[in-house]
Parts: sequence; C-alpha cells; structure tokens
Amino acid sequence: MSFIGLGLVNVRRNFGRSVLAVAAMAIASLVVTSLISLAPSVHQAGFVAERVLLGGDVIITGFQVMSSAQDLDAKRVPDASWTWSRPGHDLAGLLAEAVPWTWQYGSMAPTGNPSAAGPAALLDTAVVAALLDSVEAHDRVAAAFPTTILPVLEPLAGGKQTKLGFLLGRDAAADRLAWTGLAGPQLSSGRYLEAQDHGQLVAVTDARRTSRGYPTVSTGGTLELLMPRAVTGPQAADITFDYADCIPVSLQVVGQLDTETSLELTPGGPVPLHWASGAILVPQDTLHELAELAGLAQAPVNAIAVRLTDLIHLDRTVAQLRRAHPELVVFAVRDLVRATRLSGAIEPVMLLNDTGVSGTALAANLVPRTVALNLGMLFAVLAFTIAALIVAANLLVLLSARRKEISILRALGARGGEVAVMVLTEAVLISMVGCVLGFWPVRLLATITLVSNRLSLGRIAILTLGDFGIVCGVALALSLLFGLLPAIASMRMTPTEALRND
Amino acid sequence: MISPNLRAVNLTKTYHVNELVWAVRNLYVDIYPGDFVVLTGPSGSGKSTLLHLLAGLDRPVYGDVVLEGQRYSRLDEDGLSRLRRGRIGFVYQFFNLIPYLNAQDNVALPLTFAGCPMPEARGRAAELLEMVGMRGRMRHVPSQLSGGEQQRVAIARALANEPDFLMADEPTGNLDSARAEEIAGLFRRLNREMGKTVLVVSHSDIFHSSANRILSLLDGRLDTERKL
Repeated sequence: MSFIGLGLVNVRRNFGRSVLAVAAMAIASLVVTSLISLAPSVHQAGFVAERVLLGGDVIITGFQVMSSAQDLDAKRVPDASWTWSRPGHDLAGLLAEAVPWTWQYGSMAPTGNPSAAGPAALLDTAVVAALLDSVEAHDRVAAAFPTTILPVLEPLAGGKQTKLGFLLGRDAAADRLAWTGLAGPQLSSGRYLEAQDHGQLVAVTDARRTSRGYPTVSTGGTLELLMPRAVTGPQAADITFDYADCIPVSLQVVGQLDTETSLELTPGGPVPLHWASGAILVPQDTLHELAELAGLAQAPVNAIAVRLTDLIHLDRTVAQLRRAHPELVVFAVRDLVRATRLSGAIEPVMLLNDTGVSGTALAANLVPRTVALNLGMLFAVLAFTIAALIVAANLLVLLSARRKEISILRALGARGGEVAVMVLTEAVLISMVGCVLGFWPVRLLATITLVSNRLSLGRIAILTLGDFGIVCGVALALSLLFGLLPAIASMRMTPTEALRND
Repeated sequence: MISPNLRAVNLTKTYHVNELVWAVRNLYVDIYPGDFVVLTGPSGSGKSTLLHLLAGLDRPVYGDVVLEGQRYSRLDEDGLSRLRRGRIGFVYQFFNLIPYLNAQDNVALPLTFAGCPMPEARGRAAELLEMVGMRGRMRHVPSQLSGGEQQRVAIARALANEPDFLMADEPTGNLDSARAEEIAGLFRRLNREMGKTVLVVSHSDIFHSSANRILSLLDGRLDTERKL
C-alpha cells in the first residue's frame, strides 16, 4: 500500500474525528464560491433586462453632456429659456458623466474618443476593436456595438409636454446578417428596415413604447418629432444641441418590433435584441441625412456597448478599460443600474418628469468597486487560511494519537518524506472533501441563475469548471502549505516511539 | 576464516532519567553470517537497547555499528530507513502490527515501501503467511487474531523484503508456553533452512537450544559469552 493509499485509509477511518476540519473547509469554500461565482451569476440574472436595454455589459462613451448651468433636476424639461454650455462639475455634469443616455438632457461633446472621428456602421466593430485591442480585456469581448444617435423630442398629446427619444442608426443589411438563422427580429406588425429604405424617412419602433409613455403611433402611421438643431463649437468635435431651436421631422413607421422575443446573433451565441424603448430605428443613411439637416457632418457615435464573454470578468474588464483610456467614461451596466436604483430613478429610458435624480447621488453610487472586491478576495483567502489551519491543527491532534503507528511505519523502513506524503495526503483530502461540500450547493444556485439567463450549457460547464478549479486550487495550495505543519511533525517521529510504548 | 558482517564497535548509549543511565557501555560485539545469537540478561541490562542499536532503530551516543562495511553513523535518518527496509527484519514483543490493515496488507506493507506493486506485494505476503502457517487468517485484522497469530504475522512482515538479519525483542514474552515454543521453532527454521542471521533478546531459555551463541549482558556490558 503506497503512502498516499495509507493517507486515504487514514482519512476514511478518522473521518469522524475530522468533521470540524471538513466543516471549516466547507464554509470557507462556500464563502469563496459565493464571491467568485454566485455574485456574478446573480448579476447576470438580476440585470439582464437593463443589459438588453443598453446593448451590452460595459458601456464606453467619450461624450459628455453639455447642459444648462441651471439645475437640471429643478428645470425638468428643456425649453427655450435653456442655454447650453459645457458643464463643469455641476450636478448635470456629474449625471452626464455617469449616464450615457443623458444625451436626452442636452447636447453631446466628444472628449478625445477615438471613435469621435466619425460614425461607424452598425456591427462594424473596427472602431471598437481599435479601442479594445489596446487592453487585455479584448479576449473577453464577445461583441461591441457603436451606436450612432440623434436626440429628438416627441410631443405628447396636448403638446404641453415632450418625451425625450432618440434616433438610432441601423444598417438593415448588417442587421439581417446578424439575424441569419435566427427567429428575430420578431415583428408585432409591419416589416423591418430594408436596404431600399436607406435615405428614406422611415422608422421601426418598439411595440412596447406606448406602455412606457411614448406617443401612440401604429405601423403605417407617422411619428411627428422635433429634432434639436446642432451647434458645432470651436472644434468640430464639440457638438451641442439647442432644444429651443427644433426642426420638425416626420417619420413613417414601417414596422414595430416585438423586443420580448427577438434575438440576434453574437459570437457568444444568440441574445435578446438590445433595444431601448426611447429608441427609434432609422436607416443609417437616413440618420446621416438628418444629422446634416441638424447641422452636423454626420451622425455622431454616442457610445459603444460591449458584450463580454461572461460577467465574471466584468469588474476586471471595466478596471482595465478605465486604466487604458482615462479620457473615456467606462462603466458596467450592472453598476449603472445599481446607482440608478439607489438614486431613485425608475428605468434608464424615462420621462424627464419622472427622474428626480440627483446627479451627485448617482455619481457617488458609481464609485469603482475595486477596493471592495479586493477586500472580498482578501476575506476569501483569509477564510481558506483559517480553514486550512483548522485542518492542520486537527491533523496535529490526530497525529499525536497516532505516534506509535507512524513510528512502526518508520521502523519498517518508511522514510520521513514518505510519512510526510501520507500526512499531506490526509490534509489535502480533508480539505478537498470540505471544499467540494461547500462548492456544489452554492454552485448549483449559480447554475440555476445562469440557466435562467439563457447561458448555453457548454458555457455554464466551462464557468463551473473554472470556478471549481479556482476554489480547489486555493484550498489545495493552502492545505498543502499548512499541511506541512503536521507533515513536518510526523517526519520528526522516530522508530524509537514504537519501542518506548512496548 | 569467516569475518563478521555486523559489528558493534565501542557502542555506548546513555539515557537521562533524573540521573545518567548507561544503557550500553563500550560494547564490542561481532555477529557472523548464519549466527543465531540470543541476548540475555536481567531487566535493565541493556540487551534490548543493544538490539535496537544493531537494528538501526536508535543511535548510540558513542561508538558505531558497522554492517558489511557500512557505518551507521554515516547514514542519515533516510539511510537508516533504507537499511531497515531492506537488510533487517524486526519483530517486537507486542507485535506492532498496523491495527487497521489485515494480516496480508500488514505483511505487504514493507514490500510496497520498497517499491513493489501492491498486487505483487499481496501475492508475496500470502506466500509468507503460508510459510508461518497463517494463510487461512490473512484477511483478519490484528484484533481478530490471537497473540501467537499476531506474532506469526509480525515475523512474516519482518521477512517480507528478504532481509539478511532477523532481530526480535522478546518475541515470546507475550505468549503462553505452547505458542512460545511454536515461535521459537519458527525462528530456528528460519535460521537453519533459510540461512537468516537471527538475533533474539529473551529472558527465557526457550531459544537456547537453537542458538549457537548466547551473550549475557549486565549493566550495559557484555558479561559472558557462551558458544554452543
């Protein structure tokens, strides 16, 4: 029987006396598994709607909103009395930095975004690739979507209030390519954009937008919009929109999408169509023509929505992007939604009257979580360290009761190192049993949330094995390290121990 | 002229138990191939200590043991382990079997320590157990065996790696007279038929008929030596 075999036998026969050590390791494993796998899974399940709405897991934007020097929260709706200027660190400015869709509140100004040089065609990731290639996070990116937009006002019935929306440029051919082999886009009525629509004043809307407070316009009807005129600053990249000077635009609604069931293909697999209720899809060329009408050379890229291969890398990816591109605003949708909720906002696409959001509160809630995460990992390592120490202490106690047995092995010719291997086997096995007992219940919960988030089984398996490897690896390393204590103690036991008791 | 293959040279071992105790004192002993040596003497005379020193189970404070030119003092703990594993089989008064392993695995243990694959080790263990008359009880754990049976298993274990030396510390001290006779007979057979060099510590004279030399110790020194 090998020394590893003897270790296995010893674990089995002494298991009753190792319950405390196994339990300690199981608790540590449970804590660490929760930290590394359950939390991201909960995020995936918890923020799926918002991620769908915003088009990705991480938003990168180089634009900052220029707004009135007046308090945006107090003013509520932009009107002719608003004058737009570059924000300093007033509330609106903070809000603008935090929330990319604040184009609704005012105007946009690029601040060094490489993609600001010109609009990128939808699904053309060249611009984004240039941005993402520079960071390690690139291999975690499943897809990236530059969004070209123009802000619009939609007058509500009675004409006294306006709802803020935006025109989103789409490449019909690229969309069709993305949807190849999939059921989507599911239309509740009408048709999707066609190649021949380019340059035409046509639009596709979200079938659900009416329930979100937008004007009721069915397929075949006409969307009456007000498009604020653009004012270019001293530099061509400085763009502001003057809501006091709007151009009326009429778009014919050719179809309405059922965004509940539509799917589109990404390298990570099919995902629900990413769509915001305030978005009005227009052909890319049409958007450019409207941008010209508003006074711009072409429709600007507002933001880049980045989808990751999995959300476990979310925080690291955001941190890396922030480090690599300090001139850009980078944040996780999950954090944004948290901040929005904490600040009392209802949903990302919202009626201005409903917001009541304090920009300061919102920005404060978007504090990077790096420190908290590091503390979490420190806590995880501490938990495993304590558990490994308990395993080691337990073994030391067990060994003191087995001195004679080990001495007999030494007398029979077992070398010190071989006895140490036997003891280390026991330490590792006890740790691994505890580790597995703590890992799987938590991981099962995580798997349920991942399944509910429509993640493929293959990806779930890879994630699970990865997490299992991390948890077991840490437990193994620490149990080997602290297992050295009883192992060294066993090496010091001499054959004479067996004789003394004779 | 046959030269000794195991020598104790000026061997000295002391203990501190409130005062300095000379367990073995400046002892010279030569053991020749095929010897059947009985170490005898009153309690505390140092016979067991001498045997442990000769077996490499303990280290002297002075002097050395030389086995076929190999000095124990020049071996580290692992070196002594290798020596015990391959060259010396040791039998204890209280058997010292591993309590959770059956007889067969107890015997197979030293073989696996020496790198023998487990199936092969078990086969060899079965042969050894048959030789000591324990084939029928090889699946039994020590607690299911009588004292005499446990000692037979311990002897089989000591023979596992085919050692040149078989050393035993009071192997019959815990057995009734009938079982003691059987064990003594077994040692005689191992010496005469298998050519093992046997060193036995014993209070009684049960091994005297088998021995060719009887060394009597007193106060850690060699008192008398009888050649038979």
